[in-house]
Formats: sequence, structure tokens, C-alpha cells
Amino acid sequence: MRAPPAIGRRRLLQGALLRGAGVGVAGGLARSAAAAVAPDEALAFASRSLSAAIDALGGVPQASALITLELPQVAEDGAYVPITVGSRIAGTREILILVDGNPQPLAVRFTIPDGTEPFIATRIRMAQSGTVYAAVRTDDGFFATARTAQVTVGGCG
Amino acid sequence: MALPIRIRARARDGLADVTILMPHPMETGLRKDDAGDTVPAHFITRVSVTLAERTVFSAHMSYAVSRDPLLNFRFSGAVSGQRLRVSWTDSLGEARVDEAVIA
Repeated sequence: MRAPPAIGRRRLLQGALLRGAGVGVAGGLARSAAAAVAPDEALAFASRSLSAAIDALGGVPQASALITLELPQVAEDGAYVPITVGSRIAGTREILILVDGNPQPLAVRFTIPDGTEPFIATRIRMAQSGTVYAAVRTDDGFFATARTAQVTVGGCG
Repeated sequence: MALPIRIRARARDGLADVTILMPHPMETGLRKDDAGDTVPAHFITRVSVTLAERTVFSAHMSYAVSRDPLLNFRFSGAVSGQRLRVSWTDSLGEARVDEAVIA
């Protein structure tokens, strides 16, 4: 198996979004602030890259260990990848799943009304091996965590 | 016409555990059929779950949700015997609404 290189790749990919945050802050708050006031859901779903989807969602999320994201490390069939997301962040309003490596990375957005637990289990498609992000929006911010998965047979074709 | 939504909802101590399976092809628009022709995109875009007038869950989906979308979630304030209503609409304007009694 190729476990050791997979771990190296995982660190690299998981860092990508967060390093993006640093670049965003250093690169210009005006752009971040402008994006933050106007998340554009239709644009986010239509976006063909992770960075474009993140921009459309209102800017780079903050890494959070309070989000649990479970999916298999190795998915035999990319057409059916079971995934579970839970949030322990107070005031969770939305849970989003993004798949880097899919033609359109934003897979789904769940709205969590008052009285509904910030938890969802579902199945998603993954076109290829890569990183899956679970993002959470609260009244106060936008947070995310990431996991990588190896996909044996891609699920978008 | 799409097959009925399968809904299983159980309430315990005021907390309802809901599992929903929506039979739907969830065509990505990227797949080719046996003749080599691209199969047009056709996927559920919106899902809403309501308890009387209260929306307890909703989703906006892309084709990246697997065929026959499966959802599991939990909400509080439910009592056995109440009716849960699940509806979806898809990218071709088709829709389906089904109900189930919370066990």
C-alpha cells in the first residue's frame, strides 16, 4: 500500500485551505470583507475550483477542531462515499461539504434550524482521490475541517 | 414519476432520528451511456423536511450527492404520531412530496 506518501499528501492538502487564509488576510482585507458580506450560493455551486467556491461562500473559513468529519480513508467506489459531519460550534446554522477534485467542489449545503442537531450523515460522489472539507457557518463566522480520501474508482463519470 | 421517498422517523425523549432515502438517478451530466452519448444532468437540488409548519431540515444539493440520496439527521421537539413531510425538487423541475408518521 501507499500509506506513507498518502500521509504526506494529506498534510499538504489539509494545509492548503488554511494557508489560503493567511494569504487572504495578507493579500487584502478589502477583498475578504467584500466577499464576507455577500455569500452567493448559486455562484458557489457553479464554481469549478475550490478557491472560487470558497470566495463565493464569503471567504476562507477558519480551521476548527470542533467539527467532526468522518469518511473512509479508502473509498472503493467514488459514487457512494459515506460521510458524517457534526459540529460542536455554538450557533451552527449551516453545514457544507466541499470536495476538492470534483468538477464542481461544493457538493451540498444543509440548513440547520433551531432545534435541529448540527449533524448530518449522507453519501457523496468523489471524482478522484483528494480532500473533503466540512464547513460550518454560524452567526459569528465560517469554520472548516478537512480529511483526505483515496478513491479507487471515480464517481462522477 | 419518481418512486416514493422512504422515510423512517423515530422519537425518543423528544428527539427524533430521521432517515430519508429519495430514489433519484442524480445524473451528473458527465456520464456517457452505452451508446457513448452524454446522459443529461438530472439531480435533486432542494430538499425540505417539515413538521406541521416548522421546517426542521433543508438542503441544497449538487449532483455530487450520490444516486438515491440518503440523509440522516436529528431534531428535538418531536412526538410519536406527528406527521413528517419531506419534499424535493430537481434540476428538471420535477418534484415529489411524501409523509410519514413519527414512530
